[in-house]
Amino acid sequence: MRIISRLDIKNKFLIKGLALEGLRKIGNAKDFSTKYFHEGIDEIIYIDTVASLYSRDGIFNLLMETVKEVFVPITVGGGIRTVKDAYRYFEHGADKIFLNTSAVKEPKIIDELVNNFGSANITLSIETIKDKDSQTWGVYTSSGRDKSERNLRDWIVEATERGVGELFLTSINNDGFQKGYDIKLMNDVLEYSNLPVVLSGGFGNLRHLEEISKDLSGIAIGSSLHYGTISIPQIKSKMKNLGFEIRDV
Amino acid sequence: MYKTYLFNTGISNLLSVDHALKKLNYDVVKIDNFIDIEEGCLVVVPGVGHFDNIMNKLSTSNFKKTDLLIKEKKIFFLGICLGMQILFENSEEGTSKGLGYFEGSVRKLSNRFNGGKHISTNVGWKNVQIKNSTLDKFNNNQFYFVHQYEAIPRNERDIFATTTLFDQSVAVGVKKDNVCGIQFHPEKSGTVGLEFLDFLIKDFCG
Repeated sequence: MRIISRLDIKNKFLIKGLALEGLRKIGNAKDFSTKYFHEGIDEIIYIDTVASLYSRDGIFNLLMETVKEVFVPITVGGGIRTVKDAYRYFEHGADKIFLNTSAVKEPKIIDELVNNFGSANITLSIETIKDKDSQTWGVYTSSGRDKSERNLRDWIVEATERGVGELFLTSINNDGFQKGYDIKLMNDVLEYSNLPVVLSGGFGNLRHLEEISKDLSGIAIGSSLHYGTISIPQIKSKMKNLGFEIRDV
Repeated sequence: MYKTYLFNTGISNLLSVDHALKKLNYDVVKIDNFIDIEEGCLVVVPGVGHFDNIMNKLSTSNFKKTDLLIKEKKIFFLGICLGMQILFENSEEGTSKGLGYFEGSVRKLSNRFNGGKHISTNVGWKNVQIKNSTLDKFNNNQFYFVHQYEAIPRNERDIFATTTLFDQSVAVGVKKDNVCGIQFHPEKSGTVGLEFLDFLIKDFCG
């Protein structure tokens, strides 16, 4: 089980909000990822929140600076629309890339990326909200702003067939509230997916670790680390006690 | 320190390997083609990418002469992740021939591990078992993996490192004379990974 720190990025800054909205600047992202590396984080994910809107220079500089000091994998995404976009992330230091919006709109981008970079390094990011009326999971894009026509399960099946290597699953309802992961969502997806699943959105208390499945490949943690309310060693030691296979540092 | 050529496959996590080697004080030269490779040096080909893509890139980058130097044991060659897979004869990922320094082929993990709870991508930190006296201190350390294909060496004696997936052994390190390949990413495996990379290169380049 990987403990992954999730950093939402605007230019070079770490930001965080509630339910992917109301973003607030917390500090220089590189300082945070370097600190997490030294404390034993297993992986880092940079989510560029402005790439699709403006230029990518901010995230590229941040990446290049980060890989000088952080020797764990860094997954990066935000605004990847073409093979060229993905290539430029790798060129600036990404170990893995993720995509959401462009794939939902034009799924054949997945095939193109897989043909160039192989499956293992392509992560599909999924932002989902449970529809109150139909009780089905919706697939959202553009940081949770737009609802697509897709249904979660069908989308995961299609993207898997096209060759994504991993799922990064964010519950928009839970994100940033620190009230716990969306366990129903987790169980649902684990039941039918044979891709590694990273669960994101809602961690805020060590107790929340008691609810998660050992079939997950990783959990993403944002606010609790960024605001310093819970530390990486605390999380790892709790998970070890719960019987998870955790990387020793 | 050893002069180390780092090949830019055009599609790899080149910077990660570059910074790892620099942190270890290696004299790193990034190259886009193999025209001026000096004898006695180390060439590193990093991972990430598609088998056919990287083989095409080699064939258009004057690799022929270097290929001869490798076969004549005049340079050292280290492949990481996909860089290890191309050392074999062929791969199910594509139709290109591999370099063939090791006998055996590359197969999709899901051919061996499928159905039920099996996961198609091996991603994350795994214990690695090492059969090599110089690298003994790294036995059972955890390293970072991210791959969907495995190299299956025909000769057991080429294997110096293995990991366990779903209770079965998978070869993750091969070495023969001046050629070495590792499936995991030491450059992304924390401080231990960097130390391993340093020991590996020194052991291997003598």
